[in-house]
This record gives sequence, structure tokens and C-alpha cells, in this order.
Amino acid sequence: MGAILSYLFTPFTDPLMLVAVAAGTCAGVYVGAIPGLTGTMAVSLLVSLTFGWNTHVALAAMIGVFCGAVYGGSRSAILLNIPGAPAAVATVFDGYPLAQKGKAGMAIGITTTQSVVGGIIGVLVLAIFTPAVSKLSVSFGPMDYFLLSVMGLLMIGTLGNTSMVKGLLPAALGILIGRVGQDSISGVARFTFGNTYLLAGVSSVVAMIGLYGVSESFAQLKTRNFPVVKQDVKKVVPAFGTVKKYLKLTVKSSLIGSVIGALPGAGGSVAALLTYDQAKRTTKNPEVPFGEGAIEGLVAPESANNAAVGGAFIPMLTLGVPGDAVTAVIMGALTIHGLRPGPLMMAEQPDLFYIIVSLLLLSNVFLLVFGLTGIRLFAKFVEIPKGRLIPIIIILSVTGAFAINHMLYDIFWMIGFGLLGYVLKKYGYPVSPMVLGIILGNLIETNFRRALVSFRGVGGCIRSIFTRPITLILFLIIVYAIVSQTRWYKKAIQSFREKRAKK
Amino acid sequence: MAEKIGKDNIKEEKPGTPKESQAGEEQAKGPQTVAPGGKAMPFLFLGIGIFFFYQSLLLHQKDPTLDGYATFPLLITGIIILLALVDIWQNRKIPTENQGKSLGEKIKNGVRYLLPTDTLIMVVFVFVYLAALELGLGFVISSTAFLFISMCYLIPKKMVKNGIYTAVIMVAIYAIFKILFQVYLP
Repeated sequence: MGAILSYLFTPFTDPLMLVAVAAGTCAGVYVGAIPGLTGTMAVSLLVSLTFGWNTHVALAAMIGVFCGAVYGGSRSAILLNIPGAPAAVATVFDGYPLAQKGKAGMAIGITTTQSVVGGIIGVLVLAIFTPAVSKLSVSFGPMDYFLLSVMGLLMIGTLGNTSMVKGLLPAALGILIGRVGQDSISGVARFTFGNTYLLAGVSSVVAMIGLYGVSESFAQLKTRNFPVVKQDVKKVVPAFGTVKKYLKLTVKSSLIGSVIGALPGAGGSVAALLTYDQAKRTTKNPEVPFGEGAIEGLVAPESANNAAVGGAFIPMLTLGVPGDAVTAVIMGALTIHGLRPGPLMMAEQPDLFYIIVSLLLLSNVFLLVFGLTGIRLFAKFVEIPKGRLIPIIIILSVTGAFAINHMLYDIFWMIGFGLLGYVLKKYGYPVSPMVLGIILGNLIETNFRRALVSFRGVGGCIRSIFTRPITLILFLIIVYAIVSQTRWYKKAIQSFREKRAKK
Repeated sequence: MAEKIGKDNIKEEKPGTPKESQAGEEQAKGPQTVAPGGKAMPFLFLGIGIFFFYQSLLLHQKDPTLDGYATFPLLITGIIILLALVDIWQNRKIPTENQGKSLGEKIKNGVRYLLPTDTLIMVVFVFVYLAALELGLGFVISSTAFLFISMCYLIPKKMVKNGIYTAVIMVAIYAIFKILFQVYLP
């Protein structure tokens, strides 16, 4: 016990580690807030920059950037309607409407506090429940991953007031777009039509910037002469009562986020979307409808995506399997420093586990500080007249798209997606399902094919639904998600409520 | 506006002007009318689905195994075709603003709805900007020109302020991306 406590307190007593985690968190917030710059990119840069550093100090910087960047994506989501990171894709739904009502300050304040609470819960799950969560993540098979991704897509496709078909069409198109390029299993080129550039496929970040940022810029041209909405940034820090009011939702979303984060490849974006949908279905009579600035629509995804950070470390530390792209980079960094995350780590290097727990906790504390600063400056950006803001957003989108792979073609793709997103919006088709289809498409296809091999065909896959409890639960959730959108179901629910009201 | 899923987020410019966006907004909710050109969208999806279904069939001929690289594309393009047909079916009885008009007028109204003057001009500016980047004019010159000219078109009579904004933004982008994060610019 004494040894564990000394490992836990190591970062608190080492000034270099404290400075590294603080600086990393601050940098991560601003990296995450700029579309096109990702946490993965920043952490990758740090691997080379920190090569000669003490291992723990290097780890502190990387963890700080990771936590900061996941949160930072919400800033541009709220202010510009462009998620700064895939994990912030659900934050645009209610964050941007709040900014349009002049409440950007409040929105950022709430996302900051909820991200910190979610992050701390994720760390507690990591510290206390690692063996249990690790066991659960190991029991997820390819069929389960396939159904989980389909579930995520279905939920996003059926969000909002659109018809299910109008939501699912862009999702399916997004999955198809994600198939362009080299097949990840066989290496065969698909739908490239002889173009070598297309071999690398379409970047989901490029699609995201185009579909959200550029399309919104074109859409806003019509209202550019409207008076600018002044942002209220007098009260940014939410009252304790507000935090307490949403605590139950925060805890629920954080626990879900931690578990989803522990599933290799699932990540913060899946966690954010699933919890957003869950909040929408379970919140009775929100003060503001979801999609128009509901606070619950910010609380759920933001607490979940930061909780997923702690969850992502579970498979990395216990199984040697990274939970997401950033933990994959961190694993690489640890290997360079002579450390081996994996099943033997707790026995051979117990200090590493507890130091990571402490660093994550510290990063969330610094996140509270840095997250609540600079808001006035960010909010002023939104008060720029639209006639100037629109070209600025286009330039930022171009820069961000190029920053990923340093290819001009990415800019062309980004503009193409921007025009596509604009057309979709004009005719009432949501763009979020398309983004998610591109992000999740590979996970869906890879696990679909693995499931076919594991269960020897379609018949075996169908049988597995009824023989594995996790698979059955996921399947039933999907069936419910589809059935609940049908006219028959809605009529049945309405008549049931009317009968109950009469009693 | 944010992704108000399914709702066109464009408000009418001023009272009394045709509510062009309303049809798009209505369309998503289970609408009374379909916006000009709206009924063509599911056909566009159908066309994309059929084209890529055919391409997937060609791939399937090379690898007909169930867990091969062609099965999933076949499945997903099949789903797109099915969804597009359902969308066409759902839209069939909904009246359109183009009801009773000739094909030429329908196309004209559709284009006017999609690309009003300001949007068309901004799209042209963007394409010229891309061409400048492709031709090697460089990020700084191309972006500065794009920013300044776009701002002057959208907010005329304030050229000095537009110039100041352009300069500040370009310096900020250069400092953040090139110097701080050492990211290559186009």
C-alpha cells in the first residue's frame, strides 16, 4: 500500500512532471480547438521532441496534450460549428445553437466542467475497475464491434426531426466513401479508378472540416447581414447548482464513456454519440429541445468523451492493445523509452500504472484552469461580422485540411465535401451521419468480415446473436432503434400515454 | 446554425422575401412541400448507388468469397439503392414548389434555390483560390487575395477594415501553423 501511494504521489512531488503536464494540457486545449490540428498529431510530434527526456516527464507532457485536445475540440464545435476533434462531433448539435443565441461563454463553461468531471470519473474507472473493464473489453468479439458501430450509426441517423431514411442515406454514403482506397485487410485498391492519390482513401478529418465548416459557411451567406449576436461571457463558470443538476447525467455518461473508451478502436466519438442519443431518449421535458441548445446535449457527450480517455488506457496497460490512435502513439513512445505496456506490466512495472493514473488526474485539474481561461478571446471571434468570418473560416478550413497530409488534393476533397454538405443541408439531409459513416466505416467492415470468418458465414453470425449475451443485447438495442422510428410504434406509444393519462 | 439535423438552417433574409429555405426546412420534418430540386436528390443517391453497385460487382468477380473485399461494398451499395427507393416512394405524394412547371423552369428554379447570387460568387472565388494554389502562387499570396476580395465583396465600403482583418488573420495563421506547430502550409 505504501508503495502504491508513493507511486501515486510521484507526479505531485516532481516539479518537472507538474510543469510538463500543465504545459501539455494547455497546448492540447488550443491544438484541439483548431480544426485540422489533432491530438494524435500533437502527441506524435512530442514523441520525437521528448526522445531524450526522462520517461515520466515525457509521459506527463503527452498525457496532458491528450486530455487537453479531447476537450479542446469542443471549442471550435461550439464557436464555429466545426468539431476540432472527432470526439466533439456531438457537441455541435447543441453547442453551436447556444453560441448563436449569444451563450457561447456558458456553453464553454459547461463543457469545461463536465469534461473535467467526466475525465476524473474515467480516471477512477481506470484506477479501480481496470481488471473488470479489461475482462469486458476482451469478451467483445468482432460481431459485437460490428453491432456497436452499426448501433452508433443508426442512432446518429435517427437523431433529430428528420425521417430515418433521410438520416441513414448520408450514413450509408459516408461508409461507401470510406471504402475508397486500399482495403485494410487485402490491400486491394477499391474505387480508385486508377488514381494513385485515392489509394490512401479519404481522411475523415478532411471530410469533417468540409461537411461542417465549409458547408456552414456557404449556408450562412444568406444571413450575413443579420446583426451580430453578442456573446454573453460575463458568467462563464457555471454555478455549483448547475453542475449538481446535471450530475446524474454526467456520471451515467462518464461511465458509459469509460467502457466505450476501453474498447479498442471505439474511441471518444462513439462514446459521445451514444451518450448524446441516450440523453435525448431519457431526458423528459428538457428546458430547450435537443438540437436547439439543450444543456443535456452538451453534458452527455463532453463528459463521455473525456471519460473515454481514461478508458482508452485500460486495454493499453493491461493487454498491450491501444484503446485509440493516441494511446497507440503513447505505446510507441513507451516502447522507445524501454517500457512494455501489456499483461505483465502490473507485475514488472507497477509504478507506471499508478503514475499514469496520477498524471491523468492532474491533467484534469489543469484542464479546469485552462479550460475556463481564454473564453472571452475565443468568444470575440464569433462576434466578427459574418461577411468577414465566412472567408476566415474557409481559409482556416483550407489550412486545417492541408495540415493533415500536406497534400493539395485534401483541400480539393475538403471543398468538395463542403459543397456536398451544403447541398445536403439545403434539401434536409443531415451531414453528421455521413461524417460518422466515414469514421466508423472501417471498423464496421473489418469486424463484419472477421465475424464472417469466426462464425463461418452469415448463419453462424446470426446464431451468435442468440448464443452470446453481449451480442444479443446490442442486437436488441439496434432493433429498438429502428422500430422506435416507425409510425406504428409512435402511434402505439401515443395511445398508451393517452390511456395512462385518462386513468 | 448547428447541425439542426434535418432542418435547413438558413433563415429568410428579410420579411417579405420568398421563403426559399422553408421548403428545405419543411422537407426534413415530414414536410408540406419539397424545395425546388428536392425530388431529384433521392434519384441522385439512387444513381450513385447503382453505379457503385456495378463497380462492386466487378470487384466481386475477382474475389467472390463471402469475407472478401467486395462483399461489404456490395452490401452497402445495395442498402443505398434500397434507401433511395424508399425516399423516392415517401416523396412521391408531397407537392413541390415546381408543381406544374416545365422541365426548363424546374431546373432554373432548382439552380436558383441552390445557388443564389452570393453563394455562386463565393463558390467561384473558392475555385479561383484553389486554382491559384494549384498553379503554385503560394498560400500567402492566394489566401491573402481570397480573404481580401471576399471580404470586400461581402462587406463593401469598408476596405480599410477588411484589409486590417486580412493582415491580422494571415499573420495569426502563419504564426500558429508555420512557426508554433511547424506545420507546412500549402
